[in-house]
Amino acid sequence: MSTKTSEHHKKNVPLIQLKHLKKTYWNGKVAIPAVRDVNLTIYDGEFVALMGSSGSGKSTLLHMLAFLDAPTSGTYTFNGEDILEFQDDYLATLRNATIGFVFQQFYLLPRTTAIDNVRLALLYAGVKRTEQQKRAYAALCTVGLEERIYHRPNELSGGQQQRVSIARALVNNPSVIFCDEPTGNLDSKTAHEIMDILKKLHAGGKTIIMVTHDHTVARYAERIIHMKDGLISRT
Amino acid sequence: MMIFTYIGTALRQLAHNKGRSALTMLGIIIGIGSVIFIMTLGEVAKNFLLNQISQFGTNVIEVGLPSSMGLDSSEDIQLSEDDVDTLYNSSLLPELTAISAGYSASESLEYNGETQTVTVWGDYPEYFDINHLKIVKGRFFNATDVTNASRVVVIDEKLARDVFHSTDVIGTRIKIGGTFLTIIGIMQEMNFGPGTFGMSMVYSPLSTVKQLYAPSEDMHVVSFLLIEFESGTDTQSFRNRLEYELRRSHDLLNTDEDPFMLFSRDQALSILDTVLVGIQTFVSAVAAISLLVGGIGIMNIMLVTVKERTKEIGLRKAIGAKNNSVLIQFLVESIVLTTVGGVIGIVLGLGLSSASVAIANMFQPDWGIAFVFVPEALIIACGVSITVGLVFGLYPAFKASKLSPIEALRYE
Repeated sequence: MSTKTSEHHKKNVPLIQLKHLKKTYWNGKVAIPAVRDVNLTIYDGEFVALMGSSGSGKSTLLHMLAFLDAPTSGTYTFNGEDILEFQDDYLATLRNATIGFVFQQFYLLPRTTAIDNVRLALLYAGVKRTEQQKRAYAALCTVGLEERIYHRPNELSGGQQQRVSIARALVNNPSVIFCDEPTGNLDSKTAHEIMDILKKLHAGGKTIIMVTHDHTVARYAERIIHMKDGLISRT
Repeated sequence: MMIFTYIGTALRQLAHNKGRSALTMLGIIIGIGSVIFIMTLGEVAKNFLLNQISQFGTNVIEVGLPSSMGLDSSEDIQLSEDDVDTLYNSSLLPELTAISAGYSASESLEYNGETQTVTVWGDYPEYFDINHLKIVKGRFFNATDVTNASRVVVIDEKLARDVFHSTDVIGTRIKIGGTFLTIIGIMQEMNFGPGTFGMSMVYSPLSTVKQLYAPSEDMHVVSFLLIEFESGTDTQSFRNRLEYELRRSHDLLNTDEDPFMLFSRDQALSILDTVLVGIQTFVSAVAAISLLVGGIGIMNIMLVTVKERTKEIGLRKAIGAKNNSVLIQFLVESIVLTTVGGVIGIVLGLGLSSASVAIANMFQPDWGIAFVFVPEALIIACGVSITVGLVFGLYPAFKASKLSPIEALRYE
């Protein structure tokens, strides 16, 4: 497995830098520390897997990295910018323009065609309609779904649905793709098909940060970060 | 444009939840429908009555006594043909153009062995002119007929049809109250003539009616005056001067007695208008309650929608929707819901009011009631629909926009 000084780093530019990042949830008056003290640097172009048992804090960490959740304390620098100071709308713009997200449950809009699901991300970017159509089609071609662009989620298999959601993550040409258990709802054969797509994207220069508890899936990553009780236990 | 995408999404949602949407929109449909219905019918009624009243001439003041209106009169004051002379000669009433003086008697009409009761209306020839009545066949009686107390009668088309089954009856002699009168004219039927009350009326010179049907003590008495004046006259001032002249000539100036009942037709119009506005206001208030309840229904269902689609909201935010984008999306959805309801209400209201007009015309074909399209009602209805959607959609949409993306995604 890779180490901190991995020779795989294409550039020596840290894309993500976390210092003493903490996240505490409150259940009434009981504090539940989900992420306790994480220091982490991820470079541009890396393929990182976050592993750990459930409750280890890996998903919470991923959500904070993807600007979906605010840390309780600590600093998060993305591309040289301190994220903690930003407002909701700026984070929304950041999510839209710089990252893509692939979820375990796909989260496709029901009764909406594959291409319209993919276009959604472009809609919020204010891209023109004809351009939306062109780019969404290209993204669906990348994941091999050019034959099914007008299918609705209920007419697609789980693997195909996940490919639609990868296309949606790709369509804004983000620098990072975050994956939260991308294969969690798929059989192992389909899981490997999905991982092959992610691997290809990584080869094309994308930074990929993936949460998983599946060792065979984690093997696709260059670097595996293990978490336990809200702390990085092993890298 | 993003807004079209939102409208598209909203329409898809509406179509997907057909039953629920329909029930939710019911309050709006009823509210808007009744506003359209009542505004349209109010306008139809106003136009119709305005036409009817102006057909009879509006520059007219009707003068009667409580006794002639069927009310009790303990006074000995009566109207007579002397009053007609007094008014014509009065220097206080330069705008006066014509006077008609009516006296009526209930008599039996016999023809071909059939008998029916009719009101015989005796008057001057001015009566026809003041009331804008039109002759269909023959002629009205004239000043000569009055002077000679000619035994002539004018009937209307309805009576001609009912009794003679023909309007070709000029010259026919009919027996009224035991005396033969010759029909000299057939006039257009009056729908809302003064004092018709659905009873058949025939018209003869005042002198004829007095001679044939009046008791001797009524020889100079008339029950009803119509005073016509030049158009453009200040009605209220003319009316005051008229009343003063009547009181003066009856020696009532220094008393508290107020025996004359004056009624100006253009004031009748404004009374009618007030009544219609009152009815419209009342129904609008009921409609407003319906819209309020409908709006609360919209708010309720939008809150349910936001709950149901929490994950969708989470996803939209995760891929870059700003708070405002979500707010606008859900506002558009509630506005689309109320607007669709409003459009259905408009169609329903227009349909119901035109059906009512059609039914009224079916029962009273000769009234010729015309349907009136009221653009203001349409504009108000659309404005109200959109406003209700906006007002009651704001809170749910605001709630949706404030959801944290990750909590929304995790929501089960």
